[in-house]
Amino acid sequence: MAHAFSKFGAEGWYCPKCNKPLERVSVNVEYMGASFFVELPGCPTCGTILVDQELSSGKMLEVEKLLEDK
Amino acid sequence: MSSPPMTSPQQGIPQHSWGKLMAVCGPALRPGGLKLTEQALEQCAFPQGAVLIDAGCGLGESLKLFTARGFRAIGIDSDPKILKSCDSNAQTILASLDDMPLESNTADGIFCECVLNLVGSRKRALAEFWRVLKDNGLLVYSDLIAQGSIDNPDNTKSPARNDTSLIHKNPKGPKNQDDNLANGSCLKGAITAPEILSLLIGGGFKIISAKDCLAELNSLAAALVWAYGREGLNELCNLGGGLGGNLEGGLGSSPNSDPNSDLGGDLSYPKRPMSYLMVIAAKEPRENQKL
Repeated sequence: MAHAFSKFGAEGWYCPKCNKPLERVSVNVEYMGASFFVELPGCPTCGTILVDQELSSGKMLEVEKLLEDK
Repeated sequence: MSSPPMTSPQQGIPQHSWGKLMAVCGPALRPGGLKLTEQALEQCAFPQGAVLIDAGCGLGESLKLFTARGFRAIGIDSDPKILKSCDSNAQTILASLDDMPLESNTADGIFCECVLNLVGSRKRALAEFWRVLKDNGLLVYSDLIAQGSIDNPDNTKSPARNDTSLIHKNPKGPKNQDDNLANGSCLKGAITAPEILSLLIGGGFKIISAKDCLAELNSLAAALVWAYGREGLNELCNLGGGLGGNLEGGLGSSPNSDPNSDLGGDLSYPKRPMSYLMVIAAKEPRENQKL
């Protein structure tokens, strides 16, 4: 079951499932055979990663287009 | 040992852009980083104490790996600024790869990773590698290649060159002029996989393995765009046609869109797919070579 992350003001994002503040974690991003490590906010307990809209429609989309153009 | 005059172009990556690149790919400024180097080391299975040359040692990451694995490592680079920043206890020599101040038949292995496209004469450098290697010594070569990967060996036309027939007609003989473009750009200096394999075979090497490392190239390109955006990658391109230039060209964009580019007026190289090739080749003794 998917859980919606919650954002509480200046304190940042929380995992609603674990009720833990998200931390910067190293994530291996893979797409079309390419893979690289980036730091993204994630839950330290359950490991769920947050990809917010700005990221998904920004640099993530830019990288996807780049690789799809190959 | 005194240093001979430099005869090859300096590495194509300006010092002020190292930080940006290193933040993404680590100190080994090439696709695949040390991972491919480690794979090659494993495949080559050099004995302990083997003499390994890192031709174009850059910041010394491979040298550190070699010494940590119990090999005797020697680094060679033609860029004094890079050598000054080289972080390794290994011996380093300021020299051009096509005129290495090393004794003949002394090295068990030579690593030349993402460097040869920048060297003034690719043929002379390969001849030097052959001279310095012991019989059956191994050359680990990797670099960007132009269209016509090892999966497409019939495609021997390179848009960066118009004299490819010379390679096949006279693969061993030196030419009066450099057979490489010597323009400080891995992209413009890139040839196809069949061309480099022909050069290696013509230079007295036996191909042990050839691996297309497109995934590693794409991964680095994607990581750079993630970190700096497409515009950031373009900026890296314009810093002198080094690694960024390779990747942008490889991704099909035209790097000649910026009239202020440091690449000057010669910006006519076309869009073309690129890949990254790793070859392990053995020095064949003269008596074994087919004439």
